[in-house]
Amino acid sequence: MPADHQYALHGTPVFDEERERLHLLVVYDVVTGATAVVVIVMTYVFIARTPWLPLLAVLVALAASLMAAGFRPIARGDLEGAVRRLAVANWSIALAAAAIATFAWPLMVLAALLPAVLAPPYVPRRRLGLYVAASLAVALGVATIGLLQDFSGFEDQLPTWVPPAVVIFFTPFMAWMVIETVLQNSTRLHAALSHTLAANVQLRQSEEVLAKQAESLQASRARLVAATDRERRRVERDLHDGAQQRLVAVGLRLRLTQDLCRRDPDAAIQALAALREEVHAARTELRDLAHGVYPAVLSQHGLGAALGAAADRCPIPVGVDADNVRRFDRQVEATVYFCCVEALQNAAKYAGAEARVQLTIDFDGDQLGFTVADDGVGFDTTEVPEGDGFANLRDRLGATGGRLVVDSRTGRGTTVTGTLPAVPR
Amino acid sequence: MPLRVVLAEDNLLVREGVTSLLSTYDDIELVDACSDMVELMASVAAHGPDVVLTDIRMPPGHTDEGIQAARRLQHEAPDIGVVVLSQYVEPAYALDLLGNGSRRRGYVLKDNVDDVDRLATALRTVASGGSYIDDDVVDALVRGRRRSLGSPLTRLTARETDVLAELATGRSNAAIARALGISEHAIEKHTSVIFAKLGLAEKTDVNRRVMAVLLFLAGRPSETAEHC
Repeated sequence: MPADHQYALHGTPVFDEERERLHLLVVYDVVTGATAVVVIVMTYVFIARTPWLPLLAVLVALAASLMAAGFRPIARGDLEGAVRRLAVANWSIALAAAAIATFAWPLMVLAALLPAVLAPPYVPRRRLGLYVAASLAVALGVATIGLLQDFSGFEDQLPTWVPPAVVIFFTPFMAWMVIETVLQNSTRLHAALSHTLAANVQLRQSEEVLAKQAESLQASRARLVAATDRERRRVERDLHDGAQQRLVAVGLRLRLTQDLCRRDPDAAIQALAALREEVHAARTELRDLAHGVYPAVLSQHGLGAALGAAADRCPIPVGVDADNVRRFDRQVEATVYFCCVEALQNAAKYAGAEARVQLTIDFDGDQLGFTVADDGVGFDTTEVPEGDGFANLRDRLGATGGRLVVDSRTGRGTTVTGTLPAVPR
Repeated sequence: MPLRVVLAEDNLLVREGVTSLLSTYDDIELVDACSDMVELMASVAAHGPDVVLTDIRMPPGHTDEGIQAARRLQHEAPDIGVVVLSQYVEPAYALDLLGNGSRRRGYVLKDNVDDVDRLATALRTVASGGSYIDDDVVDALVRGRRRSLGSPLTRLTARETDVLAELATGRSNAAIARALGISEHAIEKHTSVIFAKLGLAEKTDVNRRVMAVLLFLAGRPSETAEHC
């Protein structure tokens, strides 16, 4: 498994780009080497039959082969391995060539530096130092060997125009490799940097959006909790003021009736009849209260039956179209039920005594929707921000991934539509 | 021969109250009083009553045990009548009870249990093979049907709607005539007209008639309870 290195991870498209690039560089280097071999051979054949030339040709060919041996690691994905081979080849041939053809030492300095310039994208940081140090050492060695010795006497065996011609011919090749490598490195670095900057900006923007969403969710939760508390207090109040008081009154009257039984049995019978009325009334109140908390018919028989009963309790006439609604999970049914009840209550409060309401439930396979539409007085949605009456509905629906749409025109009635995702039982 | 009744009700006060109420009738004998479904089925097996009078919501599950018991008895002992005593006025529960046919089935609201003769009438009607649906439940059904879009009930006159409601309670023509103060003959004529207007096949048997009307009111005219 090839090691991760500085710029690109194995398997990413960036890695493939790097691989391509290195491949090209190695090709280029090998071709340069091959060209050198050809030039050397031609010099030997046409210009000077000195034995150093074939030796040099062989050495360059060996170096080029070593470089070419880097193709296999590249194919494997081991880019550092290829760079290693290329570096060793370059350094070896730089030293050898400088030793033999001392006039070529400037070119060989370039050859010695190439590995250091090439290595950064392909070699992990901790080993990069080695390549740089080695390149510097070889470059120094090349300069020293080239300038301070001439054991081969090779230059003297060549016509005077050959050494300058060789250097001038090969300088652009070598220089180009170094320049191109450096340029590419910096371009890619620049691209990577701007990409990172852009990504950072996007990240910051996303963070802001998320922070806002988190805020609004928190606010919604707080409202829901507050609404639950209000409901509890309302139940407690209704129990206390309504049914509880009635029962207290019934208790008192029963006490009085007890006395009446002996004194005036007929009056006692009448009193008891009145008491039964009181008890009936208390029962009705308690039943309504229980409905407000959670109607049993909703869990037993679903939305159709429960909404029918809710419509009955509404002071203005309500038409219900929910006959063939299927069963959904508890939370979905409860959400739709309580939203509809609240919408009905709003209509009863604000639509006016002459209004009529139509309540519809529909399911399109994906979304369960309810519509509560009245033909009452309506209101101007642009003028009046929807206020508390709808915030509760929105929160309830939002909590289950649904949405609410309120449409109203003064004098033309109000339509409240809610939808939420639902899966039938 | 008094009518033998087994009562199932988990609330102590209500159980005592109903027991006392039934004891005032000479022709009704409360054989046993149970407080959950398991006890009820055991008691029915032991005593073989004519009618079971049961709450809907009982242990163990507190959902619709009474209705479940009625369904089981339909299979195991179809000659035993069941009157459900329920706090639920919503028609869905009554329709659940009558889902397998209305013969020997009754539905009385707890609210009305102190209406002196209602409970006794229900028990007697059911014991003799008939059906009894509480007026208030029928009212809720009729209101519901009227509310739904394009209701065919709008084709009926006020008098016909009254007759329809009476038909839904399971009363015989004679009883309806008494309740509405018109002749039995008039009831029969009204009934034919009503069934024609609503597009229902006329049923001569009272039980089938009740089912047809109830199903119609519940908005399920295509279902017919042929196994009444």
